[in-house]
Parts: sequence; C-alpha cells; structure tokens
Amino acid sequence: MKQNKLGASRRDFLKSAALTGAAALVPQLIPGSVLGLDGAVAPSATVYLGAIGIQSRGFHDLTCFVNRPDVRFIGICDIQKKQRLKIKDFADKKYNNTDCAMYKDMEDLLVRDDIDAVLIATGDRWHSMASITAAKFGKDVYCEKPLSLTIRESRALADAVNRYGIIYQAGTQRRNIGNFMLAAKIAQSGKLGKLTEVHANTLWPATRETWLEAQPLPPVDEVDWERWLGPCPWRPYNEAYVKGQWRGHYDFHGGGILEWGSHTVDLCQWAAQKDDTAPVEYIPQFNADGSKAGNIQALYSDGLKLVMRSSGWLGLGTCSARYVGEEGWVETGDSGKMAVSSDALRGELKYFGMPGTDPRTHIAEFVECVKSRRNPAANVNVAAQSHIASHCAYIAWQLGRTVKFDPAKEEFIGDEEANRMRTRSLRAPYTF
Amino acid sequence: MKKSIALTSMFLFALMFGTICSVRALDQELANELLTSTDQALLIKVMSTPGETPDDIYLKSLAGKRLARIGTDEAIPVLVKMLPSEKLNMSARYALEAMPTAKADEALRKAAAELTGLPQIGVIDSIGTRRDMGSISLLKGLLAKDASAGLKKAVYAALGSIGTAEAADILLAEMKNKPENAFVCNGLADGLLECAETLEAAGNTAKATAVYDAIVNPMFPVFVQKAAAYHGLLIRKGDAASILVDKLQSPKKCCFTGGLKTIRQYNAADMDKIGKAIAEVFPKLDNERKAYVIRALGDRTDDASRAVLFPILVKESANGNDLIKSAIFEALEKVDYDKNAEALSLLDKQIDQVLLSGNTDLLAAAKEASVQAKGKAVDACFLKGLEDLVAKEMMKKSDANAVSGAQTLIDIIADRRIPASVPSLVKIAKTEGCNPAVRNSAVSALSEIVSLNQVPMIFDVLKSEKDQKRVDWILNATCTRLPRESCAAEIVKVFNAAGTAEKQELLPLLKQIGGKTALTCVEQACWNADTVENATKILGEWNTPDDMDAVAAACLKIAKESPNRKYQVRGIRSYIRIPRQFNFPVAQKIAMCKTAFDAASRKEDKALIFDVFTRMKDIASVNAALDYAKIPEFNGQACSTAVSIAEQIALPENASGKKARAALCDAMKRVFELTNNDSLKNRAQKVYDRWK
Repeated sequence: MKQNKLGASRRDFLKSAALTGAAALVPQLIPGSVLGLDGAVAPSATVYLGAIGIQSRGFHDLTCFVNRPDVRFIGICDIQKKQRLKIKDFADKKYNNTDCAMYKDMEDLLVRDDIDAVLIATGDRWHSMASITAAKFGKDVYCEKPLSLTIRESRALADAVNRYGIIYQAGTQRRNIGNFMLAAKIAQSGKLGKLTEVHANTLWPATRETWLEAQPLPPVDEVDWERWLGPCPWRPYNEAYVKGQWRGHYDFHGGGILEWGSHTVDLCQWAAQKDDTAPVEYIPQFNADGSKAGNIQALYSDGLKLVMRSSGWLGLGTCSARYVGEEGWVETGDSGKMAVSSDALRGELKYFGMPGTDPRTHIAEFVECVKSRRNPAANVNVAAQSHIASHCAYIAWQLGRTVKFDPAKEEFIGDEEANRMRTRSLRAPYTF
Repeated sequence: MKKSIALTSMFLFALMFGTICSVRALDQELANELLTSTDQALLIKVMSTPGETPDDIYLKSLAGKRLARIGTDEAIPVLVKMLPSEKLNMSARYALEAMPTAKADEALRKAAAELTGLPQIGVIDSIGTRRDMGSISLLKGLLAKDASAGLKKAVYAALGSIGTAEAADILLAEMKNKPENAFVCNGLADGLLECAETLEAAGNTAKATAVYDAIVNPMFPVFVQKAAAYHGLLIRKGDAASILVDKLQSPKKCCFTGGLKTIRQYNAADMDKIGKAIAEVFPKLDNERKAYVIRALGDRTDDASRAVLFPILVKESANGNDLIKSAIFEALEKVDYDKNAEALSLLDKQIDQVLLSGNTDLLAAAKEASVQAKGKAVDACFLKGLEDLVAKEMMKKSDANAVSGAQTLIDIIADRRIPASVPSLVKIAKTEGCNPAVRNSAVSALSEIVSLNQVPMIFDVLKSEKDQKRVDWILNATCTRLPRESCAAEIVKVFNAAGTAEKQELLPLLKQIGGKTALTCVEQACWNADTVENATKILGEWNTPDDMDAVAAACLKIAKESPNRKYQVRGIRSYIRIPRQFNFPVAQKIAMCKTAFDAASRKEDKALIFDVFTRMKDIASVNAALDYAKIPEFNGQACSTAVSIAEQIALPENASGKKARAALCDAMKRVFELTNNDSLKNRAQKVYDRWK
C-alpha cells in the first residue's frame, strides 16, 4: 500500500460556522455570496459539472450545486432512462435550454473536455470505481459516502486521486457544519483535557448474502442491469435493487458501520487529530447472552479509545458523535444541538440551526477548492483513513474477535483471515 | 472494445437468465451452511459440482467468499477449473485472489497465459491486485501486436500495480506504439503514473523522475501531462524552483494550476529555494495569479513560507484589486497578532478599507480573517471600532454599504465574544432610529456575549421584537452557553411572572436548557390547566439523559393520575419513549416495558412495548416479547416481534457462541409452541436451522 502524499489541509474553524449557525433563521447575518446566492459569476469562474447516478440524495446534492451561480450542470449519466430524462428535464428547466446531455456510459461523459467536475451519487458499489475513473479523466469529484466497500478500494481511490492531483470531496458534509466543527474544535483545544474516548454513532453492522427473486430483465435502454452491477458479482435482476433496496446486501453495501461510520468515525478521527492514521486494535462487543452486540471498540496506538455504537446517545439527532476527555465531554448530532459535561464547557457553545444532513456548505467548499486547488475538508486522504478504520471494525465484527491492525502497512497483524477480507475481486473487465 | 466486451457479457448473462425458471429449487439449508462454513472439503465439493445456473452461481459465490477467507492450496485445482467460465470466473478469482500463497500466483499466471476474453482480463486484474512480480515477463508477452484493447488495458493496469523498474520499462516501450484507442492510451498513462508513484515510494527517485518526465508527452491527454508534471515538480524538491517559475508564468492555465498546487505540497525544508523563486516571479504575475499564489502560501505555516509571504502582503496591501484583498485576508487568518504588531496594523487597515465598500465577498473575507485572528490586541482593535460606530451614530445610517459594514463589525465582535462590547451593543439595540438590520445584528451579538446576570437585559431588548422565531432563536442562543441550573432559574423566574401566552413560548426553552430546575418547572406546569397541553408535550420530548428517571416518574404519574384521559394516554406514550430511546440496561428496559404494559389502558398503547423490544437485538428481548404471547390478543405481535429480533441477532461462529446459539434455539422452540401461524413457524425454523 502506498503512503499518502497529500496531507489534509483546510481552512480553519468558523469559515462557515456563521453560515451553518444562524443561517436557517437569521439569514440577514450571512453574506449571500457565501451561499452563492447573489450576483452573476464571470464565465472564467464557472465550474462545469456532470453527474453520475442521481437518485434522491444525489438529487438533493445536485440541486445545491445548480443553485450556485458559479456552477453549470451540463450532463447526466445514469443507467436508468427515467432518471436520465428526469435530471435532464430538471436541468433544462433550470437553465431554460436543452443543453443537458444524457449518457449511459460514464466514460462518454468523462471524456468531455468541457466538464471540470462530477457529482457521483450512485449506490455504494460504484463509488470508488466511478471516482477512480473520473480521476483518470482528470475530473474533480464530489462523491457521496461511503466512498468504498473495502480497505483496498479506499487505498486505490486515495492513490488515484493523489496521482492525478484532482480535488476530491467525500460527501461527509458534517465537516463543514457548525455544531460538528465546534465540537471538534473543543476537543482539539484541550478544553476537555486529554482525550480518552471518542464515540461514533453507527448502525447495526450486518449485511446479508441472499438474492432477491429473479425478474425478467427490462430493455437495456430502460435499465442497464450489467452496468448497474458494475464491478460486483453477477446476480439476477430484481427491480427492488434498482429502486434502492440494494442496501443491506453484502455485495453492494458496507453495512451499518460504513453507512454512518463514514460520517461519524470520520468526525472522531478529525476531532482526535488522527486524520492520518487509524486505530490499531478493534474489539467487537457482545451482549450478556453471548450474542453479538452492534458495538465495536477500537484503540489507537496512544491508547485513545474509539467507541462505535448505535445506542445510548443523548437524542441530539442522527449521526451523533461524542468526545470524552479527562476533564469533560461534548456531544452533538444532526439536530445542530450540543451537550457538554459542565457549565464551564457550556460557555464554549453556540446555538446552531442547520441540520447535519444539509450539504450546502460542504458543496460550497468543494466548488471553492475546485477553483483554488485547495484540499477540501473531506479530502480523499482523511476520508480514506476513516473508511479504512470503519472497514477494520466491520471485519472484526464479522469475525467476532479482536483484530490488530498496522495503519502504516494497512495490514492486520497475525490474522491471515482478516487480511484476506481487505479486498473483494472485481468483475471483469473492471479494474482499478 | 470496452463496449463490445460489455455487450458480449450482457448477451451471455441474458442467455443465462433464460434458464432461471427451470432450475431446481435452491438448497437453502446448504446455502445457510455455506455462510459460516469452515469445512474446506464442503466448499471444494460445492465448487466442483457441475452447473452454471443462477442457483449454482449463488452457491458457488458463497463458497468462493468462504474460500477467500479460509481456503488453502488444496482448493486451487478446483478453482482453476472454474476460471475459463465467464459465469464462474469471479467466484474462483474471489478465492484465489485472496490466498497468500505462491501456488495461487502460479495458477493465475498459467490461466492468464491460456485464457482469452473476459476470463483472461479478470485473471490479469487479480495478478495486478496481488502485485505478482513473477508475472512481469508473462504480461509483457501478452502485449503482442494483435492484443485486444481490453487485454492491453488490463496488462497496463497490472504492470502499473506491480510498479517495478522492469514493469516501467515495458510500459515506456509501449509508448512507441502510440495506441490509437483513447481508452488504451489513458490506460497506458495510468499504468506509467502508478509505476512512477510506486518507484518513488520505494526510493527509486531517478527512475520515477524519468517516468514522470516521459509522460509529459503530447500523445497523452493534457490532464495526464499535468499530473505527471505536477509529480515531476514535487519529486525534484527545491531543485524544481526554476521549473515552478516557468509554470507560474505559463500562458497555459493548466500549467499554472499544476504549479500552484505544488506550492502547498512541498516540505518545509524545500521552501527556502522554492520561496525565493516565488518571491522573484511574483511581481510578474497578473492579479488573479497573484491572489492564488498568496492563498497557496497563506495555507502554509512554515517559517520559510511566512518569511516570503509577509513582504508580499505588505506590498500588495496597496493593490486595489478585490481578489488580492480577499487573498490577503485569508493569508492573515493564521497570524498571531500579539506577536506581530505590524500584521495587526495591516489587518486593521485592510478592514477599514473594506468595511464601507459594500462588497459582500470582501466583507465575508474580512470577517473570517478577523474571527480567526489570534491575540488580545485584536479584541481591543474591534472594540474601538464599535465604540467609534456608536459615538458617530453610524447605526442610524441607512445606506447599504454603511449597514453591511456595521453588521460585519458587530458580527466579528459576536464571534469573538468580547464582553466589554455589551454596553455599546445595548446602546445600539436601544437607539431610536437605529437601522433595523444593524439592530438585529446587535441583539444577536448580545445573545452570544451576555453573562448570566445580564439575561434580563436580553428580555428587555427583545420586548419590541415581533418575530417569535427570532425571539426563540435569541433566547436559545443565550441559554445554550450559560450555566444550566442558574440559567434555568433565571428563565423560571420569568416563566412564573409571565402570562399564559408567554408561558407557552417559554416551555420549549426550558426543555432546551434541561436539568432539574427546568424539569421541576415543566412538571408543575403539567398540572396547571393553562399549561398542561404544551407542558405534557414538552415532557414527552425531554431529552436530557440525566433527567430521565425523574421524567419517567412524572410521565407515569400523569398516566395514572391525570383526570383527563387524553393526558393519561400522552403520559404512558411519553413513558414508553424513554426505554425505547435512552440507554438503560436491558433488564431495566424490560422492566419499564412491563410497567408501561400494566399501566396502559388501551391495547394500542400496550403494544408499543414491542417496538422497544425490536430495538434491542438480543435473546433477552426475544424471550421478553414471547412472555406476552400468552395473552391471546397480543400473541401474534409478540411472536412476530420475537422472530423479527431473532432473525437479526448475530452470534459468534466459534465455540464461544455455543451457549447463545442454544438459548436462541430454545427461544425459537417457544415460538413453535406459542404460535399457530405457519409463516412465523417457518421463519422461526430458519433461525433455528441456522444456529442449531
């Protein structure tokens, strides 16, 4: 495995804290231009965007992109005809023209010289393959999470992005949302004392190895099932997969740890200033009756504990994170609310109203980085590390035993079976 | 070619689909066994059983995944036999690719030499993934002139992954053939780039540099050349200074952006040479490029970069260009002003220049720089600005530039939370004729700054506020950061003195604050006719975990003692929410469910306990649910809940899970006894079979 070349670099806290804070209710406090809401933009500063695999979340992202005056969306690639038509209709109405081109094959979109960047919001199975392909065409990438299905995919993606020097932003938008930024800042400031534990809100880890009942293949122009499967093992068509019920299937999904851990383990790594590494030991937890709990504890080399758990949160919203130090703790979640252990720490808090699912500020940062060539907050190196940590945790959970990991070599120590689980084969002719 | 492969593949799978309806019934018991099997003989047997129907593919994919984890050389012969099949190739590779043995390498090499089409391409990908250095000569031999585009791409990728000097030489030699197919050409470029990257990581800098330089060739797309040039710059470290200068001045935008990106990437040790070169070339750049270079240097924190940057900032501060001004603000974000008075003076002057400009982008940049700025001297600087604003009654001005400037200044003070600013902010908020937007900013700033004993001041300035959402926001922002119990006591005082309408508005604020004082107030409000409606709702949403025992008791009391049936129901539902949402030991949750079940009067409320059980994926919850199956009207839901939980429970596959497996099977036996529903029995049977 190759070492990261590009370290995480980003502008400091509060760049968009004001924006994420009062924006929802006190819009007069925020310069409209920060949100890209006002004024025309010179053509030279326009980012030309393509999109690959757009359904519900992707459409939300895409809407945020096209609402910016400095972005021009010009092409959609989707294996479903109805999605191609829907997105084209949306773009053409937005721009009052018929310019949005439609593609079934992403390479036909990526080969266009006039496209600067792509939004990738396919199912998880395609995230790394599509991102790597885009990198190989020199396109900057905003990709929904989780960015990979395996440790190997995570590394291959980071290597490709670094190789081509493209800008990559993982869709882990909480790195650009006020309450999460403030919580990380508090943890990093030393106000909690020495950090002892960081807690990431994850979901039940399991995936399943069943196939849905076979259905007749639709015409390839309507749904291109072979392209939908992409690099994954073949299985017969069933409409439910295409409609989103691919989640939970091992071949297409990383399970509940990746589903939210891609956000929350990432938040923990960030808060603990461990963006360039991963825990060295992963310990799955068990219920009193001997059944597997959904929780996994992990230890960094300095003894800091990462706790991945689905329950016991304060009710501050989905994708919560808690940072615990020797002198206090802070917890926050998607509601924007924050909780702390003491009145002294309350003095650090702010009241935020922007939900953690809102990608506007994250997309704004990406567009700014496409222009400035800065590395964005959720750049590929930090995202790959947090995904590798999440994959390690899922492997430990599947094995039902503690595993030790060398983050530098990206190898499990003394556990051949775990090492074999770092990768999954790609269906020909796909390759990284 | 890429497309023709895909089409062939689609055709074959379409043919395969046609057989689906005629296949034999899937052996589900075998599939269940394969999921966790450690019996290699069984796995080999499945792999060696003839058949390529979808059910065969399914079982072999399961076996292949297990062999990937535990397979030994013993499994290789049967896997090799599957490689020629387009339908089974992947299952075989899944296992072979993961096996860390020389025999697996040998098998893949042999197959790569013998196979054709998609199976061959797949095998070559596996070879690349394994970085099999023993395969280099084989791969070279596959690059014959008549090799298909797909095959060439696969070989280039594999050689790139292997990444030795020998692999690089093969790829460099391929450049002479100048592939006409754009995708093959890109594949070659990618292989070369990856090779160079691996050589660099291995310390072979000379070879890596040579490869990067070779890729800067017009036969490759511009973005490939850009990437190679970028890495070529970085690998040369300080010696690349003259090349960097050329890049920054290049008429080609892509060369400039490539050079720009490297500025952020050099090690600090290289910045003496690089920094000097940047300082020399900087005056020759146009304003847009100057701005980008300032931002790139500003992102660096090493002393050498700072030494180059600061004179540039001072000189360019006289430049009226907005891009430059914005870049200067960004570069000033990381300065420690207590240690750099000259920088503070520069920041002060820059802010003075933009505050009345009305330029929203510059104001935002100024604000960001000011909020970030470290040093107590900075506070004094902004405080003086605020006092000047008040003294000159600037808050009464209504022209847009003055308003946005005043707002920016106040926002900076709010973000920096400067306590000494409170008198000036109050004065602004209370000044007759104050511009409404500026007043709003001042009130918002107060919510960020006031201390506990100044809370009444917030209520005072909010008296004239008509927008209730804004009032709520300001009060929440104030209370969020003040000491909980003391702050709650202040709000309770206001609550007790308030009229009925105002009390309704304050109840959510009490929930937001949380804690004993606030909870006591809300509990009391639950027994007051004027406030019971909203207070019981708020109690049901209470989310401070430390308060949950008290909240549970209060909810139960309402459920049992309220004279109004509506609130009885609300009380029991609020009570059940607590074990559902909050973290208690399993036994306590089960006990709370029993309490709720006994206290609830309506069937639909009693049934809510099953949702609590469903959220606990353990055997205790399965049995707890089954305990209610003895009550006829809950039999169906209890058994269904128990089976649903059981289906999701994960047990260790090794000996440590034996006791738990037995317990879960016992629970499923209870389902067999308790239900007459065949569907449920079948599902319970599957769980039983899986774990027996």
